[in-house]
Amino acid sequence: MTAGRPSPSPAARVSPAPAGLFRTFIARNLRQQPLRSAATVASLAVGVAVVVAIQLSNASSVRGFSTALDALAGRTSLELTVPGVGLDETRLANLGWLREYGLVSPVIDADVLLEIATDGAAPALEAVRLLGVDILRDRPFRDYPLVDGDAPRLVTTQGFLDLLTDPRAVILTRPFTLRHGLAVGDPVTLVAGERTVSLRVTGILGDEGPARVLDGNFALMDIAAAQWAVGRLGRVDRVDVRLADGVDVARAEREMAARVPPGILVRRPSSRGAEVERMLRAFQFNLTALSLIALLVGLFLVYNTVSVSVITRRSEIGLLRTLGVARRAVVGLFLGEAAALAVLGCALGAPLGWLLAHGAVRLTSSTVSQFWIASSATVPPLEPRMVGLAFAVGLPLALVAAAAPALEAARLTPLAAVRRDDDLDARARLSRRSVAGPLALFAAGAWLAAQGPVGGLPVFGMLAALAVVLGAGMAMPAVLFCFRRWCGAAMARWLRVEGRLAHANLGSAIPRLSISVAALAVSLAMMTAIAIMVGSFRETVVYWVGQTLQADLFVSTARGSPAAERGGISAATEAVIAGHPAVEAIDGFMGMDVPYGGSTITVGAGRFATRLERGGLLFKDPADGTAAMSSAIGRDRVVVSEAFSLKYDAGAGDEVQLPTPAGPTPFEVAAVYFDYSSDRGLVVMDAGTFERHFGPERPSGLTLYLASGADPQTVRDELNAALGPERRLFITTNAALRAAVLRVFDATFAITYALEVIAVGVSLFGMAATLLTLVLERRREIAMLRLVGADSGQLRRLIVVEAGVLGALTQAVGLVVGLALSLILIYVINVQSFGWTIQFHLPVGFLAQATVAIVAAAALAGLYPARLAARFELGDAGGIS
Amino acid sequence: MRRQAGGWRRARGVVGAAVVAGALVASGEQVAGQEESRGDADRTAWKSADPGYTLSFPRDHAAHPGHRIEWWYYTGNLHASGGRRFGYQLTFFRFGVDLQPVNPSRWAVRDLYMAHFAVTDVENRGHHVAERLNRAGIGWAGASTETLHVWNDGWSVTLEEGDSPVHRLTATSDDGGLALDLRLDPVGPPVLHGVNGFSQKGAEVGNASHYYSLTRLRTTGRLVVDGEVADVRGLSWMDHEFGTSFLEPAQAGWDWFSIQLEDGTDLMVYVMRRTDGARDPRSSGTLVSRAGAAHLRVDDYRLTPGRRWTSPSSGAAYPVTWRIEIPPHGLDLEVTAAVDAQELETGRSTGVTYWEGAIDVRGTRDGVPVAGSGYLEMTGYAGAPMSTVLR
Amino acid sequence: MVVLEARDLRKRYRRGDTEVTALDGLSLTSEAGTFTAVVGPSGCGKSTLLHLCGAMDRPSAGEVRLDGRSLADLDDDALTRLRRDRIGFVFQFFNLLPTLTVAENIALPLLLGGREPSAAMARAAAWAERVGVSHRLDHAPPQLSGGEAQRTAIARAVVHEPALLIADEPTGNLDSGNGARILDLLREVNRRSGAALLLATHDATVAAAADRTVEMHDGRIVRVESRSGAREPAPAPELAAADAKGSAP
Repeated sequence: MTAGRPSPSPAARVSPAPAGLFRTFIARNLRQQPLRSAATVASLAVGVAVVVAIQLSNASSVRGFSTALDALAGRTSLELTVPGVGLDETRLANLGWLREYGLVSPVIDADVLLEIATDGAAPALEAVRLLGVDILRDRPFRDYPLVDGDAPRLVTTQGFLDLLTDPRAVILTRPFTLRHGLAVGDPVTLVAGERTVSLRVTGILGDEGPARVLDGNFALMDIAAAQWAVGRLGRVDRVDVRLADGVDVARAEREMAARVPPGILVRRPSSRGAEVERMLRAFQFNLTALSLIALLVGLFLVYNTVSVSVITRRSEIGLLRTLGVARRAVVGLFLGEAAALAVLGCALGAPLGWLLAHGAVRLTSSTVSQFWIASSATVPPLEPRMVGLAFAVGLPLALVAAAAPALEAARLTPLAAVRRDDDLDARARLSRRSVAGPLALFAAGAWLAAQGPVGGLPVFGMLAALAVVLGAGMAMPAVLFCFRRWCGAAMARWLRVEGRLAHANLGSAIPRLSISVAALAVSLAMMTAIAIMVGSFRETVVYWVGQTLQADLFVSTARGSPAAERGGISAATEAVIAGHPAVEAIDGFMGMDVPYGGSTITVGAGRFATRLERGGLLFKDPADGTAAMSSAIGRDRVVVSEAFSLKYDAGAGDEVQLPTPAGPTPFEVAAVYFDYSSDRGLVVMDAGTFERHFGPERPSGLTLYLASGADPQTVRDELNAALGPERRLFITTNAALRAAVLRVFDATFAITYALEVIAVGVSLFGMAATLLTLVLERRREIAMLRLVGADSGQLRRLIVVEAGVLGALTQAVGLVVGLALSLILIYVINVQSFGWTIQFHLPVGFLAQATVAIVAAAALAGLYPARLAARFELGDAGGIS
Repeated sequence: MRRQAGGWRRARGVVGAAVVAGALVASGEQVAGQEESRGDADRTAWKSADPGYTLSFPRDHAAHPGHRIEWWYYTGNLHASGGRRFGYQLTFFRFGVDLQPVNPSRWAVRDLYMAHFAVTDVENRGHHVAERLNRAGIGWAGASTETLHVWNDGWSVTLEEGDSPVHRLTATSDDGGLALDLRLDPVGPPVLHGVNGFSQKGAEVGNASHYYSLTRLRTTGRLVVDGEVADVRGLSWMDHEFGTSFLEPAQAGWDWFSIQLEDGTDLMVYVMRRTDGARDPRSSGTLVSRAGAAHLRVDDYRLTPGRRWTSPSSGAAYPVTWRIEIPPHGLDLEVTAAVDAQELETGRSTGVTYWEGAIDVRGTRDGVPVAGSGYLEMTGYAGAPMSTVLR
Repeated sequence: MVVLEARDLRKRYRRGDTEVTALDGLSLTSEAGTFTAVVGPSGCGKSTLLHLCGAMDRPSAGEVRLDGRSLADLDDDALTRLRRDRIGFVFQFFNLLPTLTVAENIALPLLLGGREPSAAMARAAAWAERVGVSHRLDHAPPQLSGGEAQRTAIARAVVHEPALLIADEPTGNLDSGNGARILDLLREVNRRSGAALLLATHDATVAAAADRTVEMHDGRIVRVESRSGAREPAPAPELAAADAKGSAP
């Protein structure tokens, strides 16, 4: 439309009534720009979806645990235990007074494997939660609905009788038996540690009560049979107490805690859930932060869309103002546009998030299971709460993103309608703001990065990263300006006339481009940062593994649980191994989970003398860790992992109070060592010290040092033969273990990469949408180019070159900013979240590949607009007619 | 014989879970059979009742773990100082499951221990029940082999030995609303039933038990009923019986009486009703008077049911008045339930429903009026015949 | 030498629900170095004629020949190349690319044609000199005055030495002084380069400067007037034929 002539645009025909105005001015426009609208909605939807997916996946890992916890706890009000080692059952005799408070039921609670024979194929192996109870006492605590087919059976049946009389009796759940085609009477093999026990299914539980644990991976046994099967004779894992009606839990907890002998912990079952949540918090916090990046990109695009809408419709806005539409109404119109896009985006994002969550859960549950808790890999149903979250996150942020362009629109005067401004501000200048703003943000980032954690979470570190990201986004106009200033000749030289034109076009479209370029740059920066961080981490782990995995063979028991299992390898087994002529030395390690400082740590025992003799620990403090470690033998001294040291602020020479069966006992920290196996914090003492405090325990893993010249593979085979098939032991060679460590490592970061790829994908999508917008806006110029002789090939090349150059430019910015972010990730966020020192390492190969891929992807993103441009009619060269 | 049957009944009676134990005994038998067939008799062979065994006290008050089944049974009629009247029953059972479990765990089940505690509040027509079912485990239930000491998760009976040994009974329900703390002082020596305490139960050899009673124990102590504490005194009755197998099939149910008359005469008598309606020939009784204990054979007495009370919940019609005639001893007694509603239902889970409760007794001995009180138990009136329930 | 030959051109297109006939059987030839002005009221088909002659659009019927070659069998890219090599355009609204400098705008046809950039720029500079914008070489079009912009456009239109120069209301957006100067420039270029100039205008003074004035009405030529000073008056027979057709009932 041109000034001076009455406009046929909808704006001229509408009444200023807001609703009608919105319908004609905004909604119709959105419809008339289906591609741009769809792109914005889609990218916002993906952003929202990623946030929802991560929340769902976080919820599922905790939910799996807390559902299991709730189902296992049943109606238990309080539980008594000695952390890590459980209760010596003879101590229960002195706890008769517990009956004053209510019912009492001792429990064996273990993670084991069940092996189910299959026809011909290798037997199926599944991790199950084994609960061993005295069914006579336990029924008021938990429901055990035996079923016969689909019909619930009465509880007083042969199934429970067998449980009491037959030490091989096990009751499984209906989902589990269905999955494996098991029926009452069928045999299964229980694997606990190195032991295998033949069991017989004597009953099937309906999907209720503890049977719901981990999707039915639950086995019920008699307490005596369970003790025997998992090798815990003489011990129970805890004693559950169900308080009589009317007894106040808090008061009972207090009183009982005061009455129990030292070392016995009285707590509510839910406190274990709280510990786990705290343990997982850093991991989940980081995932959440990562998921927000994708949303941020979506919001950039909302900003972009509304900006473009405002810029391209200046004269229409002016006309509206001329017709008497108030500034506030103009703001409302454009906020309305953002809201309309956001509502659509959120509505699509919530279910999409649920779909994405399936992938996310698959990726995270293995990590969570590996390092923290057995978690179920099921996605919770999409509750209204999650849909609410999608809107709560997407809508306000979209409005914030649209606020700036909406306000800009409101500032337009009626004069805008009659001034025929060129759509493109060809002479973009470098404003002071576009230089000072980023610099201020970078400075803020530097300051924030220097701050400490908040409640164990790297809040300031994340804010620092955010400041850098926003700074990078704001710096884009300046970067583009520099590009325009200095790169023209090079582009004209290398890319001929297309390069010259692309350079001119890009340079002139700075205000329009900078947002989507910024969005892409931010995603790329994050990807770069994460690549550098993960790469550095990986190198560090490789180095650490190389230094510390010195032994030739590693013997471990099959573990059904991520938590360190107690005991496992019997003395007899060790004797067989020690009897092999090639085995020169054996180190044994065992660890157990212990609540500490509101979270969970692992207290472990190793044979310090062997370890010192063989080497292979990397000490952080003091430098001469070996001397410190040898001083710990025979004394109440421990070495702690770096993560423990950072989390609980305990350095060499400090004292830590560990819960032992005799009550809290002080141990002196002899040294801090590097450990990347877990972020939960490790406290390791010499096996002798451990036994003095916690009683005799068998190691769950052995490391074997062979005579020089012995072939580990051969020794491994010979040991396997000597140990026989009944002992379920896994003997791994050094090389295989190293490979396994790195495999776990890579799996752990799969979700990180997945989130990043999504963010980059969304950004590329956004950039394609921007390019498309630019092409559509330049319709007249493109027609002009065709008129003066640019053929379709040249036009296509022009747009593709523009896209590719944009991609290269953003990747360049991404690399620089990503480097800065990676420093924050490595030296601030990682240390504060997990307590790991990571040596910086630049994954050059990966970054080079990524750069090529990004430039290529960006160029590809230009293909569609390029094809479109080549199809423009010459008549579009406005002003000809 | 009735004790054995009654014991079974009571075993079943321990609400709900009791059937577990009953069936356990059955499965224990099964296991024993299998093991024996493998020639491993020593480990799993429970001792049969031995006609040559001589009961001796206080030794035989203690547990006999070589036998599979054993119980200590206390009932009594008590009066509070204010005049309120109560009946009580406290029974401890031991059922052998596995003579020598292979599992070395302390929790491995060798025996199951049950206890049944019921109080009848005559004035308020109340009937309160509590129960215990436990394995020995780390000592939460058990029975001493040294002396009379049986316990089950806080409930116990203990013989305090000395010049005049007394039985101490303690039990408290989980909610604390029902409790008992009694001191029982025996009047007279144990009464041996059958032949010197060897009581042949069935046709087969070995279907027998060792069985004696303390028919009269002066009782003082304290009861808690519905949370109200009452100091009580009165008379109790104690039975102790042990054996390995004595279950006899084709028994529909039984009617069993323990009676203490004011003149010092004590009477135990029962009739076993067969499924064909006939009186089982092994029904019997014992009459204890100053002259000593007299064995009653099935032909010596006649039990005639009178008024029936129909349970509103089970629909069973129990005779709550009886006439007991023992012509050889000139006894003619009218028995009336102290409260009609003393039925125990163990629910659909077991199908066992029975009546057990305090009774008043009035009548004549050789024409001279006598009165007294006691306990009555009636089974087989509701649901399946006991023989099928017991398999 | 005949540069442009349009024979019996017809052009129909749809506007909304109605079919509009923009050209209704029109024929025209133009020789090298001649200046033909096309006049007529708005909507008479001037611009359509220019579009068809400038190889920007295809006729519904009839034929356009440039340098004796029919445009009918050329595809889009061939037409593009033809425009790039043989035709120059000047429009009312200048139609310069705002993102390129004046020099680049002028050199654009050469650059697109694959000419070596430095040679192209030198040539552009020479043309800028000739049209009087050499002081503006590195400026962006929005910084130019209307006259300067149109001079730049003219330089771009002739930088590649086209055979045909199409000008659509080149002075329509300029004040009279600037308009006169642009007209002089066009005439000068037309004479020196020998390109045939086909110019559409409302302005009688502009038309008066032409060798020949073609007046159009409703898609037909209604009158052809040759100026006395014209070197070669347009051959009458075709025009007469066109008139005959145009006036047919």
